Amino acid sequence: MQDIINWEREWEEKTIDTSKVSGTDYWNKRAEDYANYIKTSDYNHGRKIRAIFENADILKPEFEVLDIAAGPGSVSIPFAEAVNKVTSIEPAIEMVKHLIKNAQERGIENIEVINKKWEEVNEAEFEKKFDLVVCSHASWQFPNIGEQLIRMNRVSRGYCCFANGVKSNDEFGEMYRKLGINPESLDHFIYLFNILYQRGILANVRIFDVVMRRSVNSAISMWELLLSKYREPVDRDKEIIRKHVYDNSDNGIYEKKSKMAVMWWKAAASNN
Amino acid sequence: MQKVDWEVLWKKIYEERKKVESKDPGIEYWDKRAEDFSESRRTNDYEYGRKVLKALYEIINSDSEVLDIGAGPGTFVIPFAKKVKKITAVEPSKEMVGRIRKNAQEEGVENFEIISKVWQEISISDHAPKYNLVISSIVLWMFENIWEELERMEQASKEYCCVVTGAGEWNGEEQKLWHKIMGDVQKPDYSEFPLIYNLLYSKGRYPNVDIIHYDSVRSIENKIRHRKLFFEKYIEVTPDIEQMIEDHVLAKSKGGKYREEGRAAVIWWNVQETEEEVK
Repeated sequence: MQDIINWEREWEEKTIDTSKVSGTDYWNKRAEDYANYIKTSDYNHGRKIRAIFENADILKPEFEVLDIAAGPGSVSIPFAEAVNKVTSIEPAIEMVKHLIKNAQERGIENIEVINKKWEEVNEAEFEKKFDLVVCSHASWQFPNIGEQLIRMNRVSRGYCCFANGVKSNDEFGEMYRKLGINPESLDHFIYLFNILYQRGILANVRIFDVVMRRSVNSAISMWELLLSKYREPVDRDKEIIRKHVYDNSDNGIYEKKSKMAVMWWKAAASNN
Repeated sequence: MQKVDWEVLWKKIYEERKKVESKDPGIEYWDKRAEDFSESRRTNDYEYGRKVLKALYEIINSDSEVLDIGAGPGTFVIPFAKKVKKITAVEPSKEMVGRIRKNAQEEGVENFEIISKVWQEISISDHAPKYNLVISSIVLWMFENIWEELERMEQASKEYCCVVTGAGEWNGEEQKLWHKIMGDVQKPDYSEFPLIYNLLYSKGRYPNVDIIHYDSVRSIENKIRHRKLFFEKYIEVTPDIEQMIEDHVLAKSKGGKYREEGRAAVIWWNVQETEEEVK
């Protein structure tokens, strides 16, 4: 009786439009502000995800980790410092450049980058190759999430994991209203939790606090690019964005606290 | 999204199950179940309780005071008492209480207290907010008004609550036995998961989950007894039905023991950390 919602179908309906307007071109433009966010936040969420796997006694130094949609290294960099090797899949070349630079700065040499979309990676080549497969802040770009889930399980010989914002659209809601746009708001975490369950995968969950810190310029750029997914920002929009960012900034740093959830499961034990 | 009212759905599942039941056996049911239940929870040195305890390692320490609702034969009392300052067991069944005392004596456990009452009859103001952890294991399915009881659990806690829910399904053999005995009658739904998770989350809680796997072992005699008591809730157990149950248990037993693999979800959250109800 609990199966009254087809979570996977609802997910597809709700992500199909947002994923279309957030292609590789978009992420190339976002690379600069996003990298600023990750570095200014000192890899906050990636470190916390790593700590969860350490505390659960899962992460081992000999691990090989796959990071799907790695961006500037939000998760790849903290993990590379604790495991044998990280393979980072990232389609946006500008993001890859930041990732490589960030790794170099920290003397990290055990990251291999695959400059492709995850959907275009031939999973047969990576059959059971990774001890942990992480998909952080990226699942909403896959409307066919069930298929991606099966592929994640296929390349893992250990664990798979989703990391997502929790009720994350709440903090954006106010700005969306001011800018008069109405993007599909979706609580990615609770959908994924139920999608996994309906596929017979019972995931472990940890919900934790994260802090996003970024420079004022990075925050302004983020909002303008977010808006440009829907329409070209005009002067009035730019003023709204500037005001919002400055009102929420201190000493040139825009800071937002929120929550994230990590869900993980044993790939071998799942039904796929 | 199609908006789901999880409380309403819970009630519906509860009512559907009640419709199938031919009688409500009350606390007496648990008196009769004490022996087989105690044996199953003692399996592998209280494996079930120990695994729940392990899942809660981040939030429990030697200063913790714990309230255990529907304590059964000491499922948590025995393993938890060895790690925490004190555990208070709410358990209405006299026979279950007897098992707690016996099991505790056997294990040399003394830092526990028993409140021999039904949880719903306990006045929260006498207890709140005294406990670091309020825990309940596979008990909530018996409550019609789920949110009311979860809120009362929270009121008794100053830090954390934990609900352990069954997360297994009827296995093929059990389903076969059900339909053999009950014909076309829809098998009752006892599932608490993931509904309780979705309910808590929709109420602004941030619950964590640990999935645990455990074994339950019973003697053949105890397993037959367990099955008979179960079916008595739904049908008059005739000698023919008794025979079917015996055959079923014997066919699945090895070396005089009946072993089952169980799966449960340990759901725990900080009661001080809540958000406005999600609209």
